[in-house]
Amino acid sequence: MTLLEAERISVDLGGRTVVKQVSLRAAAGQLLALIGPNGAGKTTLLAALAGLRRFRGSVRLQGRPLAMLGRRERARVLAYLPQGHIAHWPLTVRRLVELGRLPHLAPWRSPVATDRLAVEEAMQRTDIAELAERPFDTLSGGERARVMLARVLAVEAPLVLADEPVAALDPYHQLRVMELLRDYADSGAALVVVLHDLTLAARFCDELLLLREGSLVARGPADEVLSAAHLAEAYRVTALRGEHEDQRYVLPWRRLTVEESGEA
Amino acid sequence: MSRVVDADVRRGRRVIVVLAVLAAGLALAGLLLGPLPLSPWQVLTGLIGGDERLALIVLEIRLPRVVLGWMVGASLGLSGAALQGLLRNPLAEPGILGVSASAGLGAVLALYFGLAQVSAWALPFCALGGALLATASLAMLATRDPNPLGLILAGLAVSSLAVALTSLALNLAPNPLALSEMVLWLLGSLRDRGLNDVALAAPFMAAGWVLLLSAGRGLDALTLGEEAARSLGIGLGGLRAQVIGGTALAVGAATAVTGAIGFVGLIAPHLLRPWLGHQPGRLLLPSALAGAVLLMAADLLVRLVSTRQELMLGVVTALIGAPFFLHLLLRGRRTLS
Repeated sequence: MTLLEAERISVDLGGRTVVKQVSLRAAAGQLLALIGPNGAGKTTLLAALAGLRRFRGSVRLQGRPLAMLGRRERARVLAYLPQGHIAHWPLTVRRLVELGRLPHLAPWRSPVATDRLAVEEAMQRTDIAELAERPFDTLSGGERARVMLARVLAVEAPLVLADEPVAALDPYHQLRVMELLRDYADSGAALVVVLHDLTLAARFCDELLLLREGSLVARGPADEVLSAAHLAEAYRVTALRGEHEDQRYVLPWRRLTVEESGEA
Repeated sequence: MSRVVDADVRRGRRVIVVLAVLAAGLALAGLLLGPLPLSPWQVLTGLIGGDERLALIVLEIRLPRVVLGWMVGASLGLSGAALQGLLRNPLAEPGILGVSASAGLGAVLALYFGLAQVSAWALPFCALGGALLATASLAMLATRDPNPLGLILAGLAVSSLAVALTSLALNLAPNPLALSEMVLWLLGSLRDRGLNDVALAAPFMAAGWVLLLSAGRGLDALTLGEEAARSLGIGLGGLRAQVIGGTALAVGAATAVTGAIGFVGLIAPHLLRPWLGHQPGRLLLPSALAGAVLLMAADLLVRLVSTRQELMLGVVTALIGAPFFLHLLLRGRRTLS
């Protein structure tokens, strides 16, 4: 089932078109990686898909136009994880994860059993149950990332858009979070995730979307998208590549000079 | 697991009950104590109008003072907590941000131009207008520049402008009577207020309270930042309008009847955070009660220590509040901005 269909999305920011005519679709069970160099428009595209930016083109959620959905209804279908893992107040972990239930709560009513269950489950999945009563400002970067991910999972939305969920995490936690996202997709959700690590994208995602200067350069399985030509064109690097345990890895190795990247 | 949640919620309820009992106790003390100490029986007799002299003291002097203290304190505490939540800044407060000063300016202008004599509603409306203008311009600045210290500076500017214009009105005061009338708004007091003042302020304050108390969920969501809050189905424009409108109504009405009383809105939420945590929505109702307790306690203090010349309540809260603010600033240097 197609959960997200975006047709020719363009976004203007400060008089410049930063996302140009990008189309994509995500079906249940799919984990998509949105990759590309800094400033390629990944974050802007993701925010537009979440309905947080004005855009041209059309976005359909579960077959219905984004604009037709009410705020709360949209919030139940689509969960969005912004960059940076910010909490302005040092709430306890449980309270932060509970915020993910806001779209489900009736006005003036406190959380019911299903809400608590969703919160517990999200904390179990992200391995933070033992941190439940800790204030957010006492957590490490890896723990904060997992708490914010738990907050997003607690929404129990069929579609999740996550902006750099593994940025600034150590290798162990990067793998941990990617496994989690893969798990969540396998349980029937569709995910679009902004990533900088090409190997993680290649290993865990079904499909990669490569953005450069706001346009979609390539879309498809890792083998095609992470070709030498694409890496040269979009990232201006060459990469080491290989295979281990039947999975591909791609390791950016050397910068290309201006002339070299022009030839590629 | 659910027991942990319950313990936390139960603690919140306990704090609310303790604050409510404190507020009731202070209200009772406010009725009993004064230049002429009364017994509970005498207060009761006065309340039901059994004795003319007692009725005068209780109904005309002490009851309005107690009720206004409760209402104004609750308004200040509640709007302080809501503004801190909206601006995600522990230093936000109607007094520091110039909302009270702007409401005072509105009131002074109403007096200066003689509007207050034309209609009893002119003064509160002008005070509300001043508060609304100040809060709205602050919210606009806060949206453009999320740095908390930038907001405090903007508040300082708004406050300075309001004070300067108020001084101008005092400077050009047509006669000494008008002058003394206007000075009254600047100092802030619960003295010599009647039940008609209560009736005048109550509808606006109540409307403000409803707006502010129902903003809890939106303020909770804002903890995650504006984009995340929007993705959770919160309409930010509506939330801002709700908190700004609620603050303007509550603080504007409070200032219209008691003048500028600062720092209660700053202190109340801070006193509660060690017990209740930092979740903005959970702090709203307790902050209102704590504000009422603080203001009634300060007013009782004013009445008990004053001998010949009664201290003005606004002066006392500022004397207690300003060092507290300084303390927060110094402590927060690491965590702010």
